[in-house]
Amino acid sequence: MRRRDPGVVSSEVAIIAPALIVVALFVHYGGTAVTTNSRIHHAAATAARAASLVRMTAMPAVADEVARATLADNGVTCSSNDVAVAVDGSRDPKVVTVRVQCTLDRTTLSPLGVGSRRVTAEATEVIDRWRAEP
Amino acid sequence: MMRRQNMIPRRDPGVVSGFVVSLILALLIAGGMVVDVGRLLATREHLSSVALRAGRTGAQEIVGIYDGSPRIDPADGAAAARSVLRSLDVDGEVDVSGRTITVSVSRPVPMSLLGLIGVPSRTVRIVRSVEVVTG
Repeated sequence: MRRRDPGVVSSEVAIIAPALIVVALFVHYGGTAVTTNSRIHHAAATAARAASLVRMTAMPAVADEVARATLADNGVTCSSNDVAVAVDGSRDPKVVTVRVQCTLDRTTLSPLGVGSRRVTAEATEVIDRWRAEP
Repeated sequence: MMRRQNMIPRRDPGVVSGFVVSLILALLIAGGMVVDVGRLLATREHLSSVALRAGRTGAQEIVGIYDGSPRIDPADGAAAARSVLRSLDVDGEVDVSGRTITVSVSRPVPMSLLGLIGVPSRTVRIVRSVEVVTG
């Protein structure tokens, strides 16, 4: 079998290779998207926890700083990012919600540079009722 | 010209597609694994943050601060934590003991790829404890 027809498999593979590469890139894209998403969620959660530990007026600055630092620590580079902090005082205990929005670099998700997109992650933390700072 | 075009596929129609099909299958399986494992990881993270939030909410119900032995009120603390779990639609159990509240949550995750080979879903279980400290 092999001796009679040595070149066909390779040429068939050569023909199908671009499609296989596209599928492989898609797998890579999916994996990277999942990882990046979870890193941005982690940044939001860390920022919310940090904000929940400081006084109300310091929350936005602390959340912003912690979110950016966490993203940088985990190697997520956003071409632009936005951190919004909201306190819901109507609930008991009060909660602080941090929303991190990150516009990913074009090459973050895929080496081909397709799929630039914006990821939003939100995290809510309880503000401790018993604490020194109001 | 006609002869050559007809010759190649007729002589060897199955071997090539077998090879390519197995390659494509392998890649599809890799893609399915990415989807399923990604879903499991995302659920783990979600459940972990829900459990922590429920625990922290329950841990607000502190009694005994003024008599010098602060602890979590077992009934109120557990009720507060359970109401967080309910509001976020997560199944779980809450256990309060002294200064520590432990929240165990679980959720089944449907599997797309593993579903094809007889594992329709996997259950993610997360246990998180919150301890009240004096600071």
